Amino acid sequence: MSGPLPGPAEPGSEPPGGKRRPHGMLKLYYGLPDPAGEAQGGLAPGGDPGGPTDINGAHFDPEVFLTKLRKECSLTQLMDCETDMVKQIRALDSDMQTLVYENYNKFISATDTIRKMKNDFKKMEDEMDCLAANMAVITEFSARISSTLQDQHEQITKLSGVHMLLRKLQFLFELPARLTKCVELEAYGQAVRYYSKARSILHQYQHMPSFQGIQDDCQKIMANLAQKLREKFRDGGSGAKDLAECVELLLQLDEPAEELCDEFLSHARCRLKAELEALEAELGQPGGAPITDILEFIDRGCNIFVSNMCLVIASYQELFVSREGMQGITRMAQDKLVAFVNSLMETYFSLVERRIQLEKGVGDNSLLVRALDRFHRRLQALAKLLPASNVAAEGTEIVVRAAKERIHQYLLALQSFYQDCLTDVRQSLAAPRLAGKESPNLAELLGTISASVLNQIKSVLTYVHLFTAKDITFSNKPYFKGEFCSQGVREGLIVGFIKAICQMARQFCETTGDKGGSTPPAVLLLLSRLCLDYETSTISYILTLTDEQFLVQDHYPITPVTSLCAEAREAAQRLLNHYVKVQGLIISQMLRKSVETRDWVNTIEPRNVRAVMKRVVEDTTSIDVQVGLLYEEGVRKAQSSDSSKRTFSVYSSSRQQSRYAPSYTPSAPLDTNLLSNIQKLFSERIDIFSPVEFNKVSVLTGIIKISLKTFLECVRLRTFGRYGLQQIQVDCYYLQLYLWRFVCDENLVHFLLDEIVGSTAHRCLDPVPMEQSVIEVICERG
Amino acid sequence: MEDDAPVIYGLEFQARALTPQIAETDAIRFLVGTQSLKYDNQIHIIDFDDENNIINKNVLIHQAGEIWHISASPADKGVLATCYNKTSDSKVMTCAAVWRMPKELESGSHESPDDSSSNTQTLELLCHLDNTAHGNMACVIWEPMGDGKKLISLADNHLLLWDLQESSSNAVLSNSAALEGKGQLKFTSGRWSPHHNCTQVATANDSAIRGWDTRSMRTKEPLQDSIIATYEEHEDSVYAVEWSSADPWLFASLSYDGRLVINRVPRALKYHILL
Repeated sequence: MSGPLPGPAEPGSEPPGGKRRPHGMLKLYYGLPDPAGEAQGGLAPGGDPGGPTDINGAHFDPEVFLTKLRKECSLTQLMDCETDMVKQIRALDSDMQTLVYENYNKFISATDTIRKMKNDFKKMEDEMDCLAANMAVITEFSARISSTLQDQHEQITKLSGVHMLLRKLQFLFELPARLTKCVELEAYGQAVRYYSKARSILHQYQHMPSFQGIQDDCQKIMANLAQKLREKFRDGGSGAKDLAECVELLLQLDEPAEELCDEFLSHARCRLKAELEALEAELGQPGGAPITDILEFIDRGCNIFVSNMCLVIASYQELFVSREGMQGITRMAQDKLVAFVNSLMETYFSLVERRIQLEKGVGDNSLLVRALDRFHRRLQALAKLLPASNVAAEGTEIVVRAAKERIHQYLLALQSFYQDCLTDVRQSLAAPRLAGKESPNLAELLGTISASVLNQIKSVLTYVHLFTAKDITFSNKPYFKGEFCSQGVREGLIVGFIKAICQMARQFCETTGDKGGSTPPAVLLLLSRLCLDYETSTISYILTLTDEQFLVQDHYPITPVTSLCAEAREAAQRLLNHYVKVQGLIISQMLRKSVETRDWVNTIEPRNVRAVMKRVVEDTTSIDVQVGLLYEEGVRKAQSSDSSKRTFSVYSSSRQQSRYAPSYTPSAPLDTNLLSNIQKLFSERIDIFSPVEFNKVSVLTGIIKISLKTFLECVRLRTFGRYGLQQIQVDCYYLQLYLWRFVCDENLVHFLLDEIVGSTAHRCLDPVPMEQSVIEVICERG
Repeated sequence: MEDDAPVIYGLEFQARALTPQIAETDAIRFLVGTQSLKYDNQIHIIDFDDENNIINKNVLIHQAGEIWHISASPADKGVLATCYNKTSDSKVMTCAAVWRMPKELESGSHESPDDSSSNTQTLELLCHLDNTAHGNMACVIWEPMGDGKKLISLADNHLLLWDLQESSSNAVLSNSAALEGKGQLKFTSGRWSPHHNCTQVATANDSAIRGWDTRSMRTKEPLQDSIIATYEEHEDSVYAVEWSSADPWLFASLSYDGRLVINRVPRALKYHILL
């Protein structure tokens, strides 16, 4: 549709402005979109662009347009419209004329040009015909030449083929000789290259006898060569490069890769085993001391065994795993390597563990830590080479186990140190008596033992701290950051030791019979004070020290200081109670023997205080001194200044009571019972084995209570004559004179002694008491 | 009824011997022996009325001496054995004898008289257990399941097995064993085991307990025990505690000052055991 008309109408040389309109109209006429025209159409009275009333539109209907105009417009508008339309029509006519004039010349010249072209083409056609004829002649000649040369060409091709074949054959025939020469010259690579070239051909023509012969020869030579290569490979003396070449050649000779891997590894195994055996020899005889120290041992292990292992792994990987064209066997080779490494490392680890277990010395462990560090470090290198093996994890496990074992050993060492301290204390308590010197100062002993134990703990902490030093490779493992500090050192070592101390203390109290009896009371007293000191300060000091040195970073539950303190206090209390019991029983035993072995019915009139009573007072005094060295005085019940007088009066009241005895009437027992019951109403019941407080007075009170109660019970089991009663009176008065000063409440002593005298009177066949003044004289005399 | 409140009974004399009347299984009845050097000693028969928390008593005179140990026959309500002190020529000796109480007191049914002293009765001696060869008697224990014919007595360091014959009028020593060890060991107390056909006896000396087999009279391994509850009604040393033979949850304890306290097992514990 876009016909030739718009083409000539387009030249840009035309002046713009007036020309635009006719173009627009034409375009519109041919249905081309023209935005300008459309805008113009929009201005037309009818609106409706493209509709029957659009005067510029394609579907313009004059009837409709006129009807519409007539309907819608006023007369003036119609007039305007008419003049406008007339103007437009004129303009269009003149436009058309201009176009025709403008394009006329162009049409003429175009016609001329076409005519000229027609003539030219005719000439060209003739020349082309001539060319075609020439070409046909050339083709003919060429075909003729080819046909004449054909025969010769075929012959040449054949000849060159024969030549090639002959050369190959020559190569083949010469191959055995060449190969032999190569083998002689040790140019194995060359030989293999030759052979691999010829191999397929030989294989193809092996049915021909001559080739068969060659192949046999070659195979023989190559087998020989392979043998040599293997020997070289096995020999192992050659360097890694040679070895690699060997393996490469062998692989090219189609030797099975798996076999080669095995051979390589078994060869390596032999060497490494020998090294391990040398290492094992350094462990020394079973049960004997190791030949070298642990650092040297580990050093040797690392430098010889582990580094060789690394070399083996590296060369193996180079040979079999990471090589080009070996993808098929990579997996198999890798598996073999891992199994190989794991089995050898297992042996190595067991050796290392055996060596570590030999490390029993509990002193400085810096050697051990350094050895472990080196061990661990070298394993990291190995693990980097071979990530598939589990050596790193196992190595860490070994280090962890060694650390745990170490902590355990230190705990045992601390315990045995503590035991040794106790033994020393016992010895120093026992020895001076033989030498006749003054008995050692308990306070000094306490200071010594507590200081030396504390020092020991501190030094053990320092030793253990080495495990977590920053420059040690394994110190940043999670175990050493967390569990080692909290569970190992704090709980396992320190808390464990404190608990062990308390446990030992309890054992001193629990052992019955022979074992418990052999513990000197002074040791019990000393330990009780030690436990009490632990409760008040030492435990919290030690734990603070530990927590400072080992920053505990994990969430494991830890034993709080308070519960440990409570345990220590309980142990101290038990020890002190036990001390009171033991001392009380020692005195009780003397009193009991003295009461049981005497015939109280047939005794003579008392002249002296019995020796056993003096002994009781002496022993009590020495216990008082002993306890005074370690424990504070304690509180006494308020006493009047003249307490001896008061005791006297109290005692005389009991004497009064026993005076009633001779005048017993059938109703008298009621009176005495009433009297003693009334007396009891005013005194609290005495709890004999009650726990004591941590002070001297309380301890002494406990001991005296036990002793006097025994005295009372023994007296009640006997029957007395008159003088028996009087002897008891004397003894009790003597005790009264000396014992009141030790106890917190002297009424307690008075009460128990009154009971003794009262009970004796009851058990007396002829109760005639001795005069108080006589008693006093006897007691003062001695 | 205030069930858990203890009932207290006071004696005039000091006392350390206490036993339930074992042959009596219906009424709660205890026997207490007194210790007095000057006066005639007594055996108090204490009846405890469980319903009303009331105590009835009867008193028997025990003229032989102060009583150190008392035990009732498991077969015959009227028969009991005592260990007592005999003082002669300023020598003190502890002997043992088997006694029968008057018939009318056996079941303790008759009313308690107003004045105890006016109505006291005397025991009838059945036989002595002759101990001149073995030393002082510490206690006499009846074989608990038997017919009241067999008893064990502990004398110093001897364990003696007796057979009573001719309706308890004659005691024959049938077996004996001696305690061996360091020093002067003395038996202080002993018990039959009610199990295993009464072939085992436990004895105490000092702080040790020994087990004996009456068939072989040899020592067996010692036993262990532990505390359940503490009762604090006594002021003086308590020397005897006995379970009632009639009520399994009731027991009596006797302190030296003559105070007898009848107590019950705490109700909570009782239900804990029962349920």
